[in-house]
Amino acid sequence: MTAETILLVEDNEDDELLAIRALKKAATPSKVVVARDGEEALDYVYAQGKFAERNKLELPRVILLDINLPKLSGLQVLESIRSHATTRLIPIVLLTSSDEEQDMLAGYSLGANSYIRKPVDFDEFIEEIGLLGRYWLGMNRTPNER
Amino acid sequence: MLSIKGLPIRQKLSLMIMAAVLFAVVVLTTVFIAYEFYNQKQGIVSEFTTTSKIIANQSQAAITFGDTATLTENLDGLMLHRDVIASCVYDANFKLLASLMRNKTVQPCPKAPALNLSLFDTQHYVRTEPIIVDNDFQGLLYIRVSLDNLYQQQTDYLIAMLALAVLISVAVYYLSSALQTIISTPLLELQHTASQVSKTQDYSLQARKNSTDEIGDLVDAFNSMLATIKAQNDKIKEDAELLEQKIADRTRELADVNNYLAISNKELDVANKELEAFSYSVSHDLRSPLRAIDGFTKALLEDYGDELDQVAHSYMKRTRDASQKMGDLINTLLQLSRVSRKDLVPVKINISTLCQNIVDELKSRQPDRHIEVEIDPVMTVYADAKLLEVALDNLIGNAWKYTGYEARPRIEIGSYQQQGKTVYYVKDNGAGFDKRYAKDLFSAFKRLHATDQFEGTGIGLATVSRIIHRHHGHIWATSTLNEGASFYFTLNESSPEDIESDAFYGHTHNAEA
Repeated sequence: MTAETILLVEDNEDDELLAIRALKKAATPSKVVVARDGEEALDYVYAQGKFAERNKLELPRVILLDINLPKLSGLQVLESIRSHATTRLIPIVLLTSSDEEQDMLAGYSLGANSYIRKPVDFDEFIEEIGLLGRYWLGMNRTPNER
Repeated sequence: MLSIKGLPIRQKLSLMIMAAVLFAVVVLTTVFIAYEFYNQKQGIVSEFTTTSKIIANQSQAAITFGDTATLTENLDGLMLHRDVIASCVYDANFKLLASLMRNKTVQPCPKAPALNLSLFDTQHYVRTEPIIVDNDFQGLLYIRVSLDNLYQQQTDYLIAMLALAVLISVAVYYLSSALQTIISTPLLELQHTASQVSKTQDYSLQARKNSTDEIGDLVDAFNSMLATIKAQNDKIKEDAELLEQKIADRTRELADVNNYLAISNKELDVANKELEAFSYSVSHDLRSPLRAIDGFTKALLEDYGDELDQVAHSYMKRTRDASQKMGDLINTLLQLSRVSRKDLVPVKINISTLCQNIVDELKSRQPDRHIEVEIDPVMTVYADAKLLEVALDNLIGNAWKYTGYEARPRIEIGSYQQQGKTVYYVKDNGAGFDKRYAKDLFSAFKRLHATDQFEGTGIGLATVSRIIHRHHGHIWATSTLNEGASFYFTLNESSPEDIESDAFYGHTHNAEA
């Protein structure tokens, strides 16, 4: 594995740009792959559909998953990934602009590793994304890494 | 007596008539017999007075001459009377000169009977008659009369009277049987009607009136009583029907209302769901563009900051501040809606500790502010922990905020008892507010201060008020402008409406060190 891949599942272009910018600011040496909806995210993870050519064995290092997504919701994507033996250990961080308790509870009970509320303040956002990137790409070692 | 009491009225009446008649017969008979007996005796006395005087007269010569044969002859004439059983003649010295007895069993002549004797003993009438010759007592005639015949006659009378009494009794029995019906028949009819009424509960029956006497009056009274009962019964029935009708109507109305409520509840549920969906999308969709505004402004500043002048920088700062403020507004609005929707989970809360934590948090955020805070150390209450925290957060936060321009800022948090309820308060010596606007304090978006002076969204106190009301409490405030404000609230004042209230009851002020 050469490049650390981060899968960013985000339907909002603005949020996508800001997230990528934040990840860059946090200086995480990684390649960011963006999926626009739940289906595309699963296609990437399972290397199917338009990602069928992709090396199936290369799993993203971390998935930043928005909850509100077209087609399949973030929680459905999470459920699917957690139900497959090969993908169930991928770290998944839920991103959402809502701070509804129920989302948080549902996310954790489906096996999300972390939960980040996208704050209005961009400075805060950079801080949180940076923290996240350093944690999952730097210090934390996942079972995929051998 | 008891047996008579139990007899039917017909027999009582018959017995009464018979007893009365028999009593009359017995009295009459007794009087008659007694009178007859007396009369007979008088007859005997009168008869033998005459007879003895005649015999005494006839014997004057014979006694003068001591002619016993003539005397005996005279006596013999006397004996012709069938009742005379003994007759004797004495001389002046009471020497027996002649005597005749009806038979041998008769008592002999007495030795010296009294003169002018005329008396009855149980069996006999005894009479003596002096024989007077030229005013000289020459001898005495003695007669004894048997009363057997008299007694026989009396006995015959008695038997005849008894026979008559029996005959009368029988006649009276039949007569009284006929007579008693005059009284008993209407009574029995009345009784029959009464038992018929009590058996069938038919108060429309009437007793027949046969006479105009007291029984007739009784029948009238009975009939009018029945009529009254019937009228009352009819009224009761009518009322009962009316009542049933009313109950049925009410039940139907209630069912309608219940239906309506059920529909309303469903609508409310739907509205709540919609509200939830709405606040969800508000929190998500409204924040996104804000984040973009803030984020790209920041990116612009970072990437092109050098090429922009100071005015552009200040405009961008304002842009970022405004989006920040709008973010806060959205957050507080969401909090207000969440406060209304959240289920109450009452637990025992140490208010003193909660307040201290809130104050500590405020201090850590603004370490340069020095505020004297006094908290009553023993305040506990049953309430929803999250909501109470939100409420106190707002109240203490306000006190913190509005003492910002105070030289010696002071906040006091405590409680006191009033009319059996615990009143909690948060007092400050800050800016206060104008009393005239006190009623607007707890409405959303109402602000009594300019934003440049004190920051705020105008939703905080609305949220607090909603939390207090959800705990069935009251909230009010007093203030003098520029001298500070005091906010008071109670929890669970009204009667419990649902289970969530039960847990609050009577635990408002447990002393706990």
